[in-house]
Amino acid sequence: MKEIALDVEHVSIDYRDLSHMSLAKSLKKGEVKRANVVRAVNDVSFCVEKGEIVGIVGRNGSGKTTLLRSIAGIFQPDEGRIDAHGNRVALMAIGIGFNSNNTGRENILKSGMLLGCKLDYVKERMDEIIEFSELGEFIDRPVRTYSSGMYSKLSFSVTAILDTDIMLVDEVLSVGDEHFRKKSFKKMEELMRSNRTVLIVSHATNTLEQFCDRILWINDGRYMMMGNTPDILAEYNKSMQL
Amino acid sequence: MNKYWNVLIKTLKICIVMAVVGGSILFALYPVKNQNVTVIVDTGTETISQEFSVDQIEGMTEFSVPVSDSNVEEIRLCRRFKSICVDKIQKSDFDKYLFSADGSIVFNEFACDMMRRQSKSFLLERIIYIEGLCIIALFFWILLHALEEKLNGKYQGNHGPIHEIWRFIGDLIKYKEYVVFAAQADLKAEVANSYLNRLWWLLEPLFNMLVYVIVFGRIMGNSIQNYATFVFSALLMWNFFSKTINYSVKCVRGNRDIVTKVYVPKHILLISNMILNFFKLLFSLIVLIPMLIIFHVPVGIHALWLVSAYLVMILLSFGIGMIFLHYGVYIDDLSYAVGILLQMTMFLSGIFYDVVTGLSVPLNVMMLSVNPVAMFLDTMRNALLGNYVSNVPLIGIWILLSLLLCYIGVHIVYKNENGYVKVV
Repeated sequence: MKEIALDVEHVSIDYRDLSHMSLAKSLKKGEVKRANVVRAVNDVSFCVEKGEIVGIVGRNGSGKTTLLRSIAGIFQPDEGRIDAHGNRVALMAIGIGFNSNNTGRENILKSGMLLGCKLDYVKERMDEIIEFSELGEFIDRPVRTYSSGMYSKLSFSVTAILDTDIMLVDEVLSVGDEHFRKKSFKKMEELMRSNRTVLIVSHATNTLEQFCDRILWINDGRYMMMGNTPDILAEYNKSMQL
Repeated sequence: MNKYWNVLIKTLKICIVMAVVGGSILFALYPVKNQNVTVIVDTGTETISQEFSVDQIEGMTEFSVPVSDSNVEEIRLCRRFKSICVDKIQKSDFDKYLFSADGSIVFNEFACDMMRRQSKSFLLERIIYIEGLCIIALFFWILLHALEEKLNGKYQGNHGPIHEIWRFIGDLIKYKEYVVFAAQADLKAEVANSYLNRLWWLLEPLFNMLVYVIVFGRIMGNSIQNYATFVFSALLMWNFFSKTINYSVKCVRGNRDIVTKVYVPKHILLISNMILNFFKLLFSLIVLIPMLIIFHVPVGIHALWLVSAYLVMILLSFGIGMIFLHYGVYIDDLSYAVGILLQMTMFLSGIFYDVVTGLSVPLNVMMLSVNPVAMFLDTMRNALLGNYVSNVPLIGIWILLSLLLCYIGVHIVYKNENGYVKVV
């Protein structure tokens, strides 16, 4: 029996549909309480062993991203429990807190700190990030002067130095030109192979096949099945047939 | 078991409301005797205060205060709270109320009328007692509310107010590097592509001040001394306050990039903006200090009291900001309402007039004691330009009230921040 890195027990997450109301409406208190509640994730439980790479599949809107965000701690689940056993968890998201008027260097620092790193740590890794991003002298120019490819290269590079125990990946595997795509793919592979626990949400079946030890399939917020990659993917693809 | 507790808490809450209402009515209507009035003569170098008892004030038609220096700057009246001035006689009105005889200044019957009026009034004291009552009630309300939430288990992460305060401090320590760095980066970003760069932070309040000096100083005409410094010093604080409040409404929506991708305590975003605004304020001081020197404002040791005014400003803007931050997430048109409110507050807070002399007599102390912005501006100006400590009880009240507001704001945001990501 291997060590458990992440426990998800009977997790349910609601979306309250009370967004964007007017002042007049909000003063009538009843309106808020009658707001629709949409259950995005419904009673999902699973656990992930240390060093395992788990893929999450499901249709659009089945609650994959919501689940991932919840595991990352962006919001707490409405019911159930998520226990990371003291491991540090981070969602690999690109371009966090980027301000287009700041230089690339400043954005790296800001983004890195938001991801939970110390200022000194990010500074230490700065050269590595800049080298990886292939931006050269552009790093000291404002981000608004970057091309979209350069922007995504920079934002991916920041995330790539993340040093967390559990990494959550939400479709970030295709950025930049062909060369950089290969490079980032290699970096991802390296990150995943380094005995780290990884959860990937993806629609790219071949990526999942390549990386994942196990697959979790959720549909409409409900747990469908979890098991070895080929079996689950086969089942999943069958259900996706027209 | 829980049911009984809930009923008990409900009854206690009703009791608190009743106590506040009852106490307020009692304080508002309680018949009181006339009070002694103290006259403070400020000559710029010294202050002479002389207390007149009720009996003295009753029938007098003339009274005098001995002064060694005949160059009197200002005369203030106060009652029970010696630091809160309830009326002022400005230099330009001296002819109407007093003349100086050798070694003393003699006040005429108009001044005596003024004293009698002040002696009868009890408005300021009533308001202060009611505010004190509100603080105590609010404190117990918060405790009860925490207990209720604990019992009902509605809000899972809640371990009571003390835990929440520790969590707040912990978050602050954890993100201290980020807060400062983000403020610096945002400052840089703000001026990165503008031609005049940092100068804008100076030019904005400077030109605002020029407009006010031209409109209210020259066109409308008023007799306040050193009007430019008078307006400028208040504008700096007002800009900080209004910018912070304005930002707080749009805070979560404006930072959706961050909020939807990582967990950040939301107050970190607000504090970062407050630091940014404070940087700008400090930068504007570069103009204020030469102004003080050019206009020969005698800055003395009592100017340090302005720190308390700044403290109220910071705590209050954070407390109100946190509450608006929460409602700003859900309510679309809140920013319009806040804009209107801020504009009203600006005109009511005496940025370009003196609240005590600018408003008529019962209204001025009311504005001073009810409107915290007017209060901290007045305190700051008295300390910096007048070199005396003022409004001590009001500062105390508003520090406590602001702290409670801060707690309420932080509590609301901690309780609801789960939902923010789902809404923006």
